[in-house]
Amino acid sequence: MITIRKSNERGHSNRGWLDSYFTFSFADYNDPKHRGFRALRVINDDRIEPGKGFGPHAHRDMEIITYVLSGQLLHRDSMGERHILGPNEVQAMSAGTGIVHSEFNASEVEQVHSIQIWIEPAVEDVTPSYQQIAFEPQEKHGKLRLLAAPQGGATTIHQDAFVYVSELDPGQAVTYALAAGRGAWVQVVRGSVSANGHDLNEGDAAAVTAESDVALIGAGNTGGEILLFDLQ
Amino acid sequence: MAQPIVLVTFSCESGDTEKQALNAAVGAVQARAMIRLRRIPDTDTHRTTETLLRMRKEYVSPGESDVLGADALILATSADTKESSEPWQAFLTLLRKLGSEGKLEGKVCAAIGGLSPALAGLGFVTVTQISRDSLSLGRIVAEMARSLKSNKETV
Repeated sequence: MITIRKSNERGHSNRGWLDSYFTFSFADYNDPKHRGFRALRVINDDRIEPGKGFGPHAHRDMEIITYVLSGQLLHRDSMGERHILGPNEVQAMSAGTGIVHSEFNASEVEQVHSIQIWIEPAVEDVTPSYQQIAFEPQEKHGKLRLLAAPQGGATTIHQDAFVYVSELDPGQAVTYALAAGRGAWVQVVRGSVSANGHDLNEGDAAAVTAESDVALIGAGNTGGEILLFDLQ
Repeated sequence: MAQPIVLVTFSCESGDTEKQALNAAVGAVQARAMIRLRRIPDTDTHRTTETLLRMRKEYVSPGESDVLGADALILATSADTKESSEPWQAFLTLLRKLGSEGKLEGKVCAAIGGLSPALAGLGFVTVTQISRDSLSLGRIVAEMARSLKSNKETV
């Protein structure tokens, strides 16, 4: 079964320095019908103006994954981590027992476009941690590149969840096998992609359940880029 | 159980007290509190270092609504900061006004550094820092605030 979540149905907030679209309920956007998908709680599509950002704030017991589409994001936290995150990198932060962090656009001239993802951890009170990995663009081109998983080959998260990214040219296809009982969330972050025959444009998403696979094909004139979540 | 809000307000030029404030905030989060972090603005705005420029950008100043909305306050300064220190005058004046109006009654407060004397007589339930461990202090303040808040809600 495929359930489509259209881009224009998402929550929206524009504070001037921050233009955000919320796939699921977040902050002042509260829609009881859209509070997450399995352990996936937040997908925020954020555009942050140059030099602006989120001042120091706290998190607890949440796996927070950040993926930058364009621009650069400066991360600082109470563990002393200070990193700049750009395209073709992924950052995963396990808030665990508690962490305070800030995120600012690292540039004074260029907007940053990023996707922030929250996944509920399977266990509480883990020791806070920060990970950041970079990959080559070709690792996601025409294939699925693992960004986060419980173990192996990506950032490690404390949940039985796998997060992939893929960039598909028009007509280029990739298929993901979905194990029985598991669900997938496909979020189009750029361009257009077809998922199991359903046309999706930037910001659209598809919840996939009771299907044996997810067939993704780049669509439109430019193809597209997706994030795929495989969740228990 | 009620989630307390802890307002952590600090003054800092070098980044050292900021670390203490962040530790206290993390301690409060560990005790499952919500936190608000605020920085006392510099009086000497001509002085610029990379750290100062960053902190001026990242933090906002504490306001009356921050204090009124908080169940607990932690004031973090260097050890040599006194009640008469210029950057703190506006905020301490605000606390004295709210204290005289009885609006700080039952709020928990603790100081890291030199401002403990300034907290007396304002209506706060004060917590004395028994060690140099800001993390523990943040946790203790949050737990006390939670306890008082729960009692209030029960009554």
